[in-house]
Amino acid sequence: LNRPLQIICVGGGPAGLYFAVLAKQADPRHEITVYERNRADDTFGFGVVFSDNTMGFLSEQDRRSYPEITAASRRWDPLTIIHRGQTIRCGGVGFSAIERKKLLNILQQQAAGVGVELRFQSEIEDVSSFADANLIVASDGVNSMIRHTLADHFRPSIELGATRFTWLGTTKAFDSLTFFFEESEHGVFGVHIYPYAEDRSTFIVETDEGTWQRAGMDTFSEQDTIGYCERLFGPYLDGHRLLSNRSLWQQFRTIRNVRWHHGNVVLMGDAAHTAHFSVGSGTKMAMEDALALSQALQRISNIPEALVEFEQERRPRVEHIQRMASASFEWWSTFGHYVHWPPAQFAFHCLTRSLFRYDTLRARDPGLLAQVEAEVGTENLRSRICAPVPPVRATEDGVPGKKHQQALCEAAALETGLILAGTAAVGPQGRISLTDAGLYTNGQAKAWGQILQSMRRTCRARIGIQVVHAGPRGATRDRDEGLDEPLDDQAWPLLAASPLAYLPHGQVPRQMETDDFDMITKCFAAAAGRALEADFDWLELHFGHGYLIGTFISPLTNVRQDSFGGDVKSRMRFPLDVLDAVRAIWPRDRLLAVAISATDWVAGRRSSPGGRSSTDGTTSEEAMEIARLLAAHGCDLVTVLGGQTVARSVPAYGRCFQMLPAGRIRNEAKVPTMAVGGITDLDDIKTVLLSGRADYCRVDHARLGGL
Amino acid sequence: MRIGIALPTAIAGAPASLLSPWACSADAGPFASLGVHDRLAYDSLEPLTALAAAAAVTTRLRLACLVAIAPLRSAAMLAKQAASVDALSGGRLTLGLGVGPRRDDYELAGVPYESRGRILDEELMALRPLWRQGVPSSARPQGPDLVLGGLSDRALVRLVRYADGYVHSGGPPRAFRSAADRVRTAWSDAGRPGRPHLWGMGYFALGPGAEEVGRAHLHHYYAFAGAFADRIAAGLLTTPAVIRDFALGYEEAGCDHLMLFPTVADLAQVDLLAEVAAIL
Repeated sequence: LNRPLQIICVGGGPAGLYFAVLAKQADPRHEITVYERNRADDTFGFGVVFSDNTMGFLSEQDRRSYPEITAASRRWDPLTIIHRGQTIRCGGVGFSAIERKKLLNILQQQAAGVGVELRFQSEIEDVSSFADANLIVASDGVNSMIRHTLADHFRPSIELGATRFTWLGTTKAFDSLTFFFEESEHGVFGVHIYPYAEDRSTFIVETDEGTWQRAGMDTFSEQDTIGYCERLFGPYLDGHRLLSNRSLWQQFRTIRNVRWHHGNVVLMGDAAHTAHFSVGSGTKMAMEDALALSQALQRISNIPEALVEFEQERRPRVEHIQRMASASFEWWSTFGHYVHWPPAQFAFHCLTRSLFRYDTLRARDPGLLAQVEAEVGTENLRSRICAPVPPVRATEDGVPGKKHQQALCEAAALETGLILAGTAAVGPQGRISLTDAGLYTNGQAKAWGQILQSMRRTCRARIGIQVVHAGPRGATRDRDEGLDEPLDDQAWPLLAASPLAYLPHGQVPRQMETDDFDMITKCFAAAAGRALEADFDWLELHFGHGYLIGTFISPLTNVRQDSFGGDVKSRMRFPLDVLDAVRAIWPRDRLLAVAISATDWVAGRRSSPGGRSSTDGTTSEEAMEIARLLAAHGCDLVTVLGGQTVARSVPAYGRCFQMLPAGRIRNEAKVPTMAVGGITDLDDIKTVLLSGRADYCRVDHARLGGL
Repeated sequence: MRIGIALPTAIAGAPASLLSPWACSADAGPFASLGVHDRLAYDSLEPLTALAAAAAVTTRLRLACLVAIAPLRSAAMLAKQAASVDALSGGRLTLGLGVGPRRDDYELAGVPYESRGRILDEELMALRPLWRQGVPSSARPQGPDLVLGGLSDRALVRLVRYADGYVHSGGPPRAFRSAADRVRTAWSDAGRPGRPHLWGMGYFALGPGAEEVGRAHLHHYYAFAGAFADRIAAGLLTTPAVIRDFALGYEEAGCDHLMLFPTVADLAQVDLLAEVAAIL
């Protein structure tokens, strides 16, 4: 049996109280004290919300105190979206809510009941006075003083959101979790409504910075806010009032910490991590933290080791939620671009912003999906699919052969609108490995031409080719052995925007200088000419994934001090020169696509609006600017890739995992897009196309069988 | 989908003398491979040593190490051991690597548990070049088949950079399917040719009285995992019908190779599983 512990919880919110209850229940010999700065009955905010998943997990693991919380909660099934006066219901999306005060009172009573000592009106800023404690739990919330004092150890980051929001309440009990969208003369507003009692709903109003300023809200008092919102939302309140409770306008802060524990001090709940309220997970994460920490203490007697276990168990789950929340928050930061959409498609776009996909929604509410399909139309979906031919080896001369033809036939059998026949190098030094196909000799062009000609009789799809210069990722072994493994001999000198090796043991490329620019531009133009000669219907220039042109675009690989480096316009200077040269040769009536890495997938998250740091790489705003520039120079279609710009890129692999940047580029930058990544079957294709996030979908090459 | 049977080398108290007859019996049966687990702080045989012994008495079975806890060994030692088994078996080794979930293994090896991900990264970077140097020569110049466990995004980045495939840590077919989907997505995204090899795993116990012994073994083996051990023990496959359903579920989910691990150290288990595998 483990020894009894002296435990201090700083902060009597859900995390601290629930942990105290569980730990004391598990071992009544523990001496646990909870310090709370406020009085027992002071509480801010109205109701808190839980998703159905939370309820399941906690009720399975905690059969003693959780049932009481469930009993005091209200549960509703459909999620309601009210969009310009029209109501869309989505069934099967369960949420519950409980008044925050009631939740705290239940936990306070349970804590007192099992013998936890509660000290209210006790503000703790410095934990050094608890020298005797075995464990100090910093559950002191989003503004955690302990996190602040020990910042050198926890290394917190605080990302400020792009929107403005305020927590209000209303005496109207809405009948379900409701998202509500309305426009005033100043701009668009979104409201998150969580009914939590017979006569109360939480009412969070969110808007963009511009609207907030135009409405003069930066100088609003609480009463001004109430007045403005009651005027705007009055028609939907049925005469009910809005209520305030320290309802100031704020920017959401996403908290992350490099470490969650130091010695015997551990961060829990909001002190350790926050996630935008639109995914309803703040209290859920706090309570799951409490459960995990209490269980780790039961298993492991050594405190620092138990804290390591706790963090290892919780961090991946928390980061997963933070990533979903970040995607959801990005939607809530940009929904103004979509409010003019028809209601069902708008709802589908909203619901597919992070967690849901076409099939998971259809399983919940087939009626809603039928409505979306009727509104958007599902004819010609197949013509908007691009089937990529899987990578195939060419001869040593870069000439495509029988294998290419055979793979192309297999792709043609899928009867999609577009086929991508493969990737061809624009020069011998632009190859990734020795067996890459090329478009830099007449022999190669002729071989491609023969393959295409033989396809024409049976294949109605438009067949395209992607051209690339590998840059710093060149001169590597065949990819059937892995990625980016340098050739021992036979390697050739590499080029890049800046002299940065792709991998630590890889060759350091030479920085491109004067003559190189002209030479590379000519290589691309010549490859385009040969692609035309071979009669390809469309052409894609690969400007992403850390290849030569991509190294100019990402700030992680372009550290040039000259006019080709710096802000996004300068970084785009050379890529646009290449595009111009190709466009001059490639006929207007044949599609010209450019593939970019719209995010660098570094630091484990997509860069989000307003949250830029120098290590984040290309931001969403920059990706849209890149797309606009490409379109202005004659690019017809932007293929939205992500990552691989540096070896430390870590994409969030999953279904349709890069469709969100494709959607923003299409709808906000107004440039047609092709979505790529995690698209494997018709359900994924419908997720992307019905939500209006792309004009075309490229299916994963390893999943072509799913079509 | 191919079916493999694992050696009883990680069942506490199982005699080492069981290995040879077990391997011979499997070699004569309808199996495609012979598997082993790795654990240091436990009553078990060292997996690559066990596969070397199995190599000597088998002729055709693929020898699958699922998975070796890579950071417990230095990269050079691991490369040499794996190349040796591959050479001794005529190229039959599939080397699965992972970090394992158990702190006590690391403590015993004197390797910092907290650094396990970084150590695995460094080892993966070193392995193929070591194999290419060929001392000794594995059957293929680039070394044995390499598969990795782990499903975090970081693990998938590692997998598509270095490995030939993925080995799933167990669980129902549905969980395998969603794991396999993510692996194939990462594979496509990276531009790797072909498809990743996808390995699944399950535990079985067949015959009268086997279920109880099997569950007791799993509770003992997974004691470190707390409540999770119950879930693993509950997933034990104890009848031919259940094994068939499980295997069909894995096959539908895209599994290439399903390895079934024994939980009862009795030679009769090989024949009992062979009867099921023969008609799959």
